[in-house]
Amino acid sequence: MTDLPHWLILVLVILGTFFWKIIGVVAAGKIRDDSEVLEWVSCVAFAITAGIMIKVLMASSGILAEAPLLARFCGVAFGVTAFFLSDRKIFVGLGVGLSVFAALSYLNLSWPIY
Amino acid sequence: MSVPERHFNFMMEKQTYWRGFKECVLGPGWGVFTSMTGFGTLASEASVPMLHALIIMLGLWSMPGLIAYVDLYNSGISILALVIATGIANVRVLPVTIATIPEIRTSQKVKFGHFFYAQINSVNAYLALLIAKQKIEGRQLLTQYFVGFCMGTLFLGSAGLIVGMTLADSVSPEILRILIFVTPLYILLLAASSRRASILLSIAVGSLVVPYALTLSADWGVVIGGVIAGTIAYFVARRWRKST
Repeated sequence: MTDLPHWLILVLVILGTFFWKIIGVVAAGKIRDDSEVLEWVSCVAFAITAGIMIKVLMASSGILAEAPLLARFCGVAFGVTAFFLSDRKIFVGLGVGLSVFAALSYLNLSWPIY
Repeated sequence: MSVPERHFNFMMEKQTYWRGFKECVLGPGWGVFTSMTGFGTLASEASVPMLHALIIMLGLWSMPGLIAYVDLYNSGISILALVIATGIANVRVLPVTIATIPEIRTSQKVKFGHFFYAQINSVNAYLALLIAKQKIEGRQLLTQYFVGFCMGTLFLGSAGLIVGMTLADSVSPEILRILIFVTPLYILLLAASSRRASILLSIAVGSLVVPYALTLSADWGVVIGGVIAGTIAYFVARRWRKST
């Protein structure tokens, strides 16, 4: 990170998101919310969001990294599977994912090959 | 307008703001509280000071960008890449703004107030607005309900953040790990609740490509990986849509 003051970084980051809101206000009623450009932009946004979430969950450098990788992997895998099996009920996926993660973290299990 | 009429209108407006606020804090606002509690633990873990976290939360007011911000903030990424990655992660505010503003504006001209509405808006508030539209007559009152509801989400979001950051300092590492695990998993599942093939494909491809791209370039991996993954998903889904 450069030596820019914190407040300036905050302002720039906030403007980065506010940019979309400005476009949204100006374009409201003029462009359809199901246009092809918006579809592509949404695809990129969701790819970035999913990529960052997976990075935070699986390759975090903070306190989450102290949990075994197996616990994090199974927490995500079981959570996502339960979510789809329950006809996309978020709280089912979240409950199963957290329970599996908590249990495997507590047992401190790691991959059998290690 | 006579004095009693003015008084009546004032009371109606006050009641509608309050109604929006109340319906938020007695219902969907707690989802915001919970996710912001999770975000608070993440922010605390990333050593982001509370005031800084509060400003960024109120300034961005969209969870994917907030998590991207705290994750990338201490990673040594360049400012430009941080601004772009956070901005793109928050692009979902664009369709929500496009859909919301026509429902609440009282004039076709772009006014300062519209940017304020866009800033405090959220998916929750938009959904509440659609429901309230069937119960509240008149654009003016609907807008007041919307603002009241948004204030409720901002209030509970701020409270959740403070609770999360306070909890992070006082609970054991085992509990803290679980609290940190909640929000990214919740966002991932929330994104996967879309029924659109292009979005589901973007999530699958992005989950693989973006973390890999980050190992190649800590600075631009998020942006380049996201553009590549999103573009692949867009074209594959489009081709699939046309062939069926």
